[in-house]
Amino acid sequence: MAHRGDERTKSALNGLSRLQHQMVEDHIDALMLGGSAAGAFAGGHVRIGVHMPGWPLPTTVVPHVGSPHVVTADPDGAVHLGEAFVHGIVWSRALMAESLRSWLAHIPVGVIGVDALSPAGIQLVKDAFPSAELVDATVSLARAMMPKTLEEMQFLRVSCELVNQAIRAGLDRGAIAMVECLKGAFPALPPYLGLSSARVAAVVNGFIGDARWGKGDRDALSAAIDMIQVGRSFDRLATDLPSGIEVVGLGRGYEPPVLREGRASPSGLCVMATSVLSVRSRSASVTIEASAQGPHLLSPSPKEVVLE
Amino acid sequence: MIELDAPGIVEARQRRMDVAMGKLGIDGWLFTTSHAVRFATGAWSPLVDLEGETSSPIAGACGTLIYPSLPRDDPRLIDELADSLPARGRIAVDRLGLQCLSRLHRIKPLLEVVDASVMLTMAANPKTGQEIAIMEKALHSTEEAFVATIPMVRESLTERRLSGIFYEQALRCGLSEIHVDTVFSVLPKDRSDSAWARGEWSWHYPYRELTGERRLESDDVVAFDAGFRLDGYASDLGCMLYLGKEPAPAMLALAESWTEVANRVVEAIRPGASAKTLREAALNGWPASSPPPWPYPLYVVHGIGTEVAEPPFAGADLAPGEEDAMRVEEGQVLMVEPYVFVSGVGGFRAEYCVAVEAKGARILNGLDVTRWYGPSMD
Repeated sequence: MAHRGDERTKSALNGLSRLQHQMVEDHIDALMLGGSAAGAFAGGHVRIGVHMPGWPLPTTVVPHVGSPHVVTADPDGAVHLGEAFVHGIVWSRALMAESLRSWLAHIPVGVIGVDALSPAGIQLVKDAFPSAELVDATVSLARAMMPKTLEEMQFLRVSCELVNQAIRAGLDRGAIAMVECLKGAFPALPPYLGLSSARVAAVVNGFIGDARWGKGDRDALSAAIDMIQVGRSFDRLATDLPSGIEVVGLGRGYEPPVLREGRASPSGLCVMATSVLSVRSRSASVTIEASAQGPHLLSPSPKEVVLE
Repeated sequence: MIELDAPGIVEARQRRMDVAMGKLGIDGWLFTTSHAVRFATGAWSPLVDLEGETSSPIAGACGTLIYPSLPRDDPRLIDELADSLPARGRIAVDRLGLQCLSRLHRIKPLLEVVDASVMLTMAANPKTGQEIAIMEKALHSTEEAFVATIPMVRESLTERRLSGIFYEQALRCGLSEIHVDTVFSVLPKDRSDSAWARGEWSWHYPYRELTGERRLESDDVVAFDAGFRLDGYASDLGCMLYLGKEPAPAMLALAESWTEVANRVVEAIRPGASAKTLREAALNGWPASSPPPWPYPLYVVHGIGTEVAEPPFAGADLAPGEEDAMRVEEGQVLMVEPYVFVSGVGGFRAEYCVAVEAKGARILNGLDVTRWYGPSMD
């Protein structure tokens, strides 16, 4: 059977070299990731997420050199990786600990970076590598994930265009037309169409588009866009943004940073060229790309997305 | 934007949580996944993304909610929730970043953190009649959307587009809260058609569940698997589509083979039975030289509730002792989902949804999942 993968597989491992470069810079020997956006970034794979309470255990394991290991029920979403690097869900914790050790046997594992895991997941990593130091990898991940390649940017433009088209269709012709416009893209949020607002978020070719049209502060949105300048500290930006403005990173899913109520999370990052950000005011949002020439709108402007 | 589940349902869940906390000696909880927060409090937001990771997370501790909260890896989140936590004792945590755990230990040094999975699993059951009725309604609406989709299935549609058509029908049936990417996946007819079934998958039946851009062709065999949340509870429907005029006898035999395995499992379901017993029922009479009749690395039975997949798991790669310890209880809702494959014919994977009652399993499906469906069939 000729199985044609989606467009995303072409750039499947775009993120890995950036991430491994960041790991070396941050003295991290291996990453053990439970988050799906970070996992997809590192492994370039697609998987259906079905979680039981307390999960995740690590589902993507990234050594600072060499191929990542991915744990999945969907090997057809990881055909770009060698078969020794694609693993079925490991249900037994003891077996998982053993597997982690064998997957990283080719490197010394002194420092392991993790994202938010369950306490059992963290314990599992400690059991597997009792002498390793565990560190929080949030900032390393954000630094690697924030700048986008030209190819990733193209995917994000397509996603952004699709969700905004869906909103236009919805506002013109109703909720069914809005969903029809998505052409089967997986909705990351339940699509919503109200009397004076609409909201669509969907993952297309592995990259998210997020569009919100509705009530909001048009002037505040415009002012916020102008403030997003490459090199500016997100912490500082968060305190300077007009009241009620939120900013969230976009990529393989929703990504750091998050700027909300005067704070940036994670702390300590700066706006990087080619980062893609959703800038929100109440029920309206725009999507921008940060560039050295200044912020560039990927979505319709505040004038269009803020509805009276 | 916070919404609340019906109070009666939330109270039932909270009563079960209290019992579980008592049995496990747990004094409080701190949850950062939207599923766990909704389970414990009934509070949810349509703005929380399906992964619940970053965009507009919701967090809670012992009944106090923060929305939208800081991400679960930001240690300042702990400062916001600290006043709701006890000073000492044990708290159950579902997911937190390392810095959050360190911060928690610094400001509450007498508090022991334990994984919340056991507590949440214990509290998931027994479901009340009201909870099961919601799940039955969600399932029947999902079935209705599937049936409405069938006449629109045609050659040259992509799997992805078909998924979109199904979602449009689901909206018409009152379902909007999709919880997992809808599966419309053309199944291989031969092992040689499945280049991805390598490594650990080599010996197992080739199966795929990632909806893609493959265009449907005449004679294709398509696995369908989808679900929605209704009032906080998940539906899960699996059925098979065929794009030919009439299924050939070998295809009918395939469906019969699936039904035999599934019926053996359903008959073995009763309160007190172990997940190991259900696995053995699936394998009873199955040739030892053949792969097990379910997709690797999944299971032949899983529970369902507010989570789309929750214990018990039968057929998963658990240690035998762990599988034996997972017991079927009255008031659980289970999915029975074997997968059978015959080279040259293809695969068949459907799903029974059953409620566990005192005398055994009651099938909740209104739709006959044991047969082939298609645009050319009645």
